[in-house]
Amino acid sequence: MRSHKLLVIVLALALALTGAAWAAAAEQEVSVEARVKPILTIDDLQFRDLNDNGVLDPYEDWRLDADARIDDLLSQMTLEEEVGLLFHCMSAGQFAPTYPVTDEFLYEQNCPFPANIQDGRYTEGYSFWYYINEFNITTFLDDQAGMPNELADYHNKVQEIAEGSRLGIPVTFSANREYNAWGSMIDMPHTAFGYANDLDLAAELWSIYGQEMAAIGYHVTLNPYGVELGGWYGEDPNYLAELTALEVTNMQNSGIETCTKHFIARGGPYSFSAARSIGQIYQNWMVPWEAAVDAGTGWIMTNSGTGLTNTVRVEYDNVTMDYLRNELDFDGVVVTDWGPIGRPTRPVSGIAPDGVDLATLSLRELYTRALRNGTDQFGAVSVLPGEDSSVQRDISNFPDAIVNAVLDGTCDEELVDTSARRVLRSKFNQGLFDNPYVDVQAALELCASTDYVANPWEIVDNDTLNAARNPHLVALERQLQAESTVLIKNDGTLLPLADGVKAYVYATSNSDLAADAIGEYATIVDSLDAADVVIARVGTIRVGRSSMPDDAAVGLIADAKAAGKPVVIALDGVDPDVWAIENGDAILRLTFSRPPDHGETWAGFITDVLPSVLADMLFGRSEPGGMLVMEIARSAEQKAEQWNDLSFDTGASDAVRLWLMQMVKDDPYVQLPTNLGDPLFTYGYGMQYNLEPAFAYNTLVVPSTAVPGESFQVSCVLANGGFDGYTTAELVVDGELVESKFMAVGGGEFRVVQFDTALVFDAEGTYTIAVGSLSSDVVVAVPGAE
Amino acid sequence: MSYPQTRPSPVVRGIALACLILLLAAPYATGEGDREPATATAYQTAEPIVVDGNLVDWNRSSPLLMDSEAQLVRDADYWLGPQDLSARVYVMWDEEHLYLGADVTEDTPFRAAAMLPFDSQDCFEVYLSTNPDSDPARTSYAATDFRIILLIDSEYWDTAIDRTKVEDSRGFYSAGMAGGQSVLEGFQCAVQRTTLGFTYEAVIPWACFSNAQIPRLVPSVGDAISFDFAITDTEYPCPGTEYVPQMAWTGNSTFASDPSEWGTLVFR
Repeated sequence: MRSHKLLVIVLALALALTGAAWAAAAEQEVSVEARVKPILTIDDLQFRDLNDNGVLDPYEDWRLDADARIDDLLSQMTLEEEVGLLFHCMSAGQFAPTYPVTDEFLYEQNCPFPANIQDGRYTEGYSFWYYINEFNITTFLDDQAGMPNELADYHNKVQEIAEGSRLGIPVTFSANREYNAWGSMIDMPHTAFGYANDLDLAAELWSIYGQEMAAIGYHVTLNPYGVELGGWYGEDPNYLAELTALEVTNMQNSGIETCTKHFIARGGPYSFSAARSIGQIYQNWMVPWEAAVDAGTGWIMTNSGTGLTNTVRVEYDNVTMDYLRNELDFDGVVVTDWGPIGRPTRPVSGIAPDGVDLATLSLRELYTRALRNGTDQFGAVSVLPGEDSSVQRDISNFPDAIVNAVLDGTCDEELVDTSARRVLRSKFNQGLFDNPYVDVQAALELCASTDYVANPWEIVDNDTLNAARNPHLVALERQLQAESTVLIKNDGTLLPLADGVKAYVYATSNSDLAADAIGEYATIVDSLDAADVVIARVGTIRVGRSSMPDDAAVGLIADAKAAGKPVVIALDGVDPDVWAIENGDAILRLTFSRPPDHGETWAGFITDVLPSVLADMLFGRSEPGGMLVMEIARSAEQKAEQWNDLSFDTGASDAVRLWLMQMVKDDPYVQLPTNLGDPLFTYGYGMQYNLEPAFAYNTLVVPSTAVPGESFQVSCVLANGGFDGYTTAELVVDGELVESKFMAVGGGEFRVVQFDTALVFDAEGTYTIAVGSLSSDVVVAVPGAE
Repeated sequence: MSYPQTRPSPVVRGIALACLILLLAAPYATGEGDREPATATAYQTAEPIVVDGNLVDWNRSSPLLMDSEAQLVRDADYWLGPQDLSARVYVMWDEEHLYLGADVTEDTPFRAAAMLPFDSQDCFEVYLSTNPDSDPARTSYAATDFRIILLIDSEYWDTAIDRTKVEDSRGFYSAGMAGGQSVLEGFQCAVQRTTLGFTYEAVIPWACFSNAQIPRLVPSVGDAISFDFAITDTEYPCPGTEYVPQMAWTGNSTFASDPSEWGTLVFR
């Protein structure tokens, strides 16, 4: 193994990250390292002889721009090698991490081999060597497990295998996780960024996550994720766009390319087809996508659902792909979601916008169509030789189908060249052809605390994990945990609690840890009777495909209310509902969550708000600073009526929805009003400690006269001249309470109170209707009567 | 790196008692809406069963069969056939324990991810009553009805009890439904890979389904309880995964909320 490093002059990284051409010249600084192939020294400059021919080929010459290098490389590649660039597989073709990565998985040349994945769990193993040299695959989705130094070392070993291949094409490692420096223990807390609404904090965190990922040898993160309305950052397209652009910019400036996904929305319940209303609105959905492209996202992943035309999967939809490539002008790598070719009972089907029935297309024609539409890479767990898609090993792709499509004229080779060029450009822009290796020790020192670096310890829980991590990052994440927590309700300024209070503590998970943390400030008691306050951290209970509050907590809180105890409810990933409003004297909505995405090897770490952070907020050492980024409906029925392709319409009338829709179609960037519907909570709501709302009613709308037996409804304006807060609007008729309605209103905003009760008076007379300080008389009489 | 203490260590854990064998199956009719609840037999074991994932010491003569399209209770169009998902499940018992054995054909086993709900991951679901006197025609959960979820990830084996459908909880609430927990005290399981999938064994103490207000079931020969078993099979546990087939021994698509659709387990 030889290692050389050459310093010349500056630049490379910034240019690479902006996708600009690799500037020529000996005055640039390029780090060159070869471990398998020779180093060529020319005019005191060093280059990797990747094809080992003793000559400096243009693609090995870092002084040339990327396109010149790609031209040369493509001219040297076989069709099979080029086609290999068009596939994106999971590392060694395994869905789950193969920790620890054995020599078999790295180097075995006799594949498949019986791979002992874990504790006698065998699977069909294909090594990295085999994928790189036999399948020509050099892009791997790598949701790997391990410590930072282990990950960095393993990535280097795979790069050595790649360097040893015929042309030495380096590997691109992607990750579903945006933060995998401590592989499979934690991920990035995606949703918290939206709720926190602290762009400076978000930018710093994304920058650090990007730096750590790049340091351990990742090149692409399959994020931002959930760019669609209602995704992780909420339902305001302009806010989504702002956060998406910030995320793309800061990750890429830190050395890791982003693959924004999924164009045009996630699949399943979050698919665009599922979201579409009768309004068929898409213009607002494109706002964050445009922002991602404008920010320079290197990659985009299509989704497994339908696109703009609501017809077929996006990669086969010529209209949607044309929008991406030509309207949005995206020239980076487009990779499909996993498994685009389908399985025998999941065949690709549907009539595309150009009238083509996909069910009639062969495998070769399907791949060709996707390439022609602008797809570059096909994602799946693995690849298989041949073209028999009925013989699947997990979710596989079939490179031979594209090779043969070119050979039989189905696929124009230029399509393969175009896509291969984009994939190669990403590798060149990141400098991988000159030095794909990372400094293992430097990676550890960046990601870990000095104590851990000096004397690593076994990581068994959150405490040992966080002590091992970069302390500045851990501190920022604690800040984010508080800033993303939304104070929903706080009767009588119950929060913050006074030190020394007697608290009964319940938590759906890790109850002991919750009590220990709160015990730093309170006296923990073991009975409701002895408690001054009951604190319940209510976790997400997933039943079927929906979430609901933990029923054990519901029972406990009912007992606490019956005992007259004030109750603090901390909802962990659960939206506040009528139950919470009625039973919680104070309510916090915790939004920080980061379970590792996709296959894991370790679990059990606390991935949401730390007990100590919650305790700090409860006792005023820090403050919840979040805002709601999604409206919260008053009922399941109201939620179901909402148009998911439209913002801020929960509880709105159809007339209002149409009005909002047309505003969006006229101007997708329009900032829609958030107070036209009738949700339980409006977008942007979030209280602060010791800051009170100042409510005033005006304009009570009641008829001055009515006919006996006929109904009418009452409405008025509720304005809040103070800070975000809530009140209960009461409809009173002749001194008798008829309806109470919970109203949460943002500071400086107003909402229309629409009482649900239809008032009906059978007897003639004058009735006094009051709401707050407003009142009005309605005279009920038979028309024409004296 | 060690595994969290709250989780049982992987694979072969523990030993249990002996063998007798069990049970079985009765036919299930075909077609949504007209399937007849099935009856199966759980045999008492007199000898310890070694919980090692090897079913060689089980009587496998009459399994609870799950291998037909009619048994798909969700996303049936995305079931590839018996090679994609099918199972033979065996039940045994003694006075202290419920034993489960399964020979599962699965082309993508052990697919799980922490961020997903249970029914988007590979898992078993056991539906049972601990009251032999319950009316088998009841259409809502009694206090003694339980839905138990056993994650099949070959790693952590999370367990959970869902009581959200029980109106009269009698102080026995859901546990572990957020994932990441093992809530069945004394639970042990083991798995072995096979050519087509895996074999599975588990032991669960009957005490897991009792509290001060719900007595522990002590089965006697001749007792019969409401019982069902379901398997969820995801190919790729990914957020946004739209179709995750689920197969149940007996019952229709509403079986999870309607105990009248469960079968009958007879103790012999």
